[in-house]
Amino acid sequence: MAGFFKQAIRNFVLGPTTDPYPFGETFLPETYRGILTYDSDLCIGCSTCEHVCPTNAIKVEEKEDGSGISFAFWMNTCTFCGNCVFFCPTKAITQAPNFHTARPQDEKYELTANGEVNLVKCAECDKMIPPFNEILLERAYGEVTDEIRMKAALCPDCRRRLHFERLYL
Amino acid sequence: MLLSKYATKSPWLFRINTGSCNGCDVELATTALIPRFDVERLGCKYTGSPKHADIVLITGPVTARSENYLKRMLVEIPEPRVIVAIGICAISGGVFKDSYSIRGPVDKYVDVDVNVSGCPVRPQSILDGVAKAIEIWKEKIEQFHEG
Amino acid sequence: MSASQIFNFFICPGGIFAIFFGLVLVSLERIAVARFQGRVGPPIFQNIFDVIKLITKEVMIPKDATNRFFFLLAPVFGFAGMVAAVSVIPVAGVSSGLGANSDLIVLIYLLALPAVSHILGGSSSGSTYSAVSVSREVVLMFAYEITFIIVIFTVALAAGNGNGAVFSLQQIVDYQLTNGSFISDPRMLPALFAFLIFMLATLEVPPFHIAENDADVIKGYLMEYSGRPLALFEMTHALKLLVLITVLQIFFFPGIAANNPVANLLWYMFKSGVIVFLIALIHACMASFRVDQAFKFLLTVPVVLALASLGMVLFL
Repeated sequence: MAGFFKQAIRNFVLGPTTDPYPFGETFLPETYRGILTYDSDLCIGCSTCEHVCPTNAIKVEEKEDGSGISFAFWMNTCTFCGNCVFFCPTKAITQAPNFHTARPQDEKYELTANGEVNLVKCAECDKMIPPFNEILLERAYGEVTDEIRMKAALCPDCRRRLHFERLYL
Repeated sequence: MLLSKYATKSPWLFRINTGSCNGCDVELATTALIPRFDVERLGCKYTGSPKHADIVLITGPVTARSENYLKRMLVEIPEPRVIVAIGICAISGGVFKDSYSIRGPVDKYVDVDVNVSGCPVRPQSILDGVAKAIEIWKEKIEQFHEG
Repeated sequence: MSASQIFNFFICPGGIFAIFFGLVLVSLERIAVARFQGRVGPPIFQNIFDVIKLITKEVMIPKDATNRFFFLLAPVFGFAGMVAAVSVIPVAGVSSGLGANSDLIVLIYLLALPAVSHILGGSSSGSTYSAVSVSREVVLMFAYEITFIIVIFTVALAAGNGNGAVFSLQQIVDYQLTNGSFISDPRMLPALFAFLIFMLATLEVPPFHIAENDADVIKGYLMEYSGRPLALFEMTHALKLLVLITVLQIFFFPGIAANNPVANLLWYMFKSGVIVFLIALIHACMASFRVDQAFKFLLTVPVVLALASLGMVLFL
């Protein structure tokens, strides 16, 4: 019991050790896993994130008119585990160190991150193909040259015709 | 009314656990008891009796065993009161969403006023949620005494 | 009923000043406990805001309450007793209280009234937590009243100085102002410790936080109260703290600062603050007893100290 008395007097003399939030700044590490952000330019629509999310917070669906896929993510079910960030092959999902998630009830369904990945036209014919992604090309070919980029912008039929013309004609 | 400005300086908090994993409850306990995040600066106090409560903090998805207790407890809390749903399990079922023993998020039993999501909730977010609940509580006091 | 008596009863140092200052002392105790534990603590007027907030809540009466009339009437007993006690006791240099010949005996009965109102309210609540808490409160009341009565006899005999006992509070104060305070008298030191233990037991401060324990009988006899009756209970607790601190000052160190009532009032408030810090230090450092341990402790240690002091006053 004597130890408690000494500790109490020491606490009184040295002052309180309380974090000053919400009246001041608080401590936040840089790698804190907070609210997600989604970059639709890097997404390829593989839906690995939907597969590994433990709470089904991510929905990746084909759009009804067939012009691409849509990505919908609801923050009020996210458990901030980081699975989707870890498994995404192109790093399209990142987690910002932001923990301000307290919202009133009428904003319950507004805490989302949505996006779309639209199909683009082939460079030669009129078919719609998914856009190419630099990071995946780097994984496949090591070093990406302009020739690879030019061929990746063609639909499979045009690419097959280009290679046949180069090899056999 | 004149008193509502001073009445909102002393909210008393009450915790209900409807079958949660205790992660959010541990964070609620640390917000009050450890010297680092002291909730008593805002004038709050954790009270043991539901009849003394102003701000109700509910954690956990409503499991089948705790549904009855939740309904009986919510009747005992006097008006004007503010309900805060802490953690994603209370907002939408969380990780246990499609399980056989979950009777639904807290929304189905009572009108929730503030949602604080997280798994588990960071103590600074709980302080944010309590501060927002205090603002909503001030309007509720004025409505309760006019009507 | 002169004008100064009416002023003393309603405004200062009884009535409004007592309620206000008592609530400030209760929240000063909370701030001191928080600082000793390394936290910041609430703002200084926190308990006044608590009472204002409780006035705006709705009143709920339980369906199983065994007696609805006494359920609502119980807080009034304690509050009325404490308001009367505040007007009876003198504050050294500021007011002379009732001035009657044996108001020390009246004080014994008035100080028992808050516990009676707890017991009355708790047993008409119809809740199991309240029933357990009421039985613990009754057990403790038996134990600590013995100490209080022996300390009262000790102080009365010491103020009589060989000529019998003096039971008037104002005469005890006058005796100490002319012959030196009892705190500098080595015969009375054990009685000072016994009275401090009695104060902790009757205010339900840890280590005697038994009837309203937050662990098993959460909130005890206050479990079913909400709204304005609960506000009366909080104000009663604040007034009881103020009365006990004033009685401690009257018994042991009623020194005055100057001949000016305002200066004496400020000196009285400063001494009360120091005593509150001492209570808060013991609160922050100790855990609570069980009810059987507390009963055995209160029947042995403070009684032995008070009897030692009584023996020294009678025979030395």
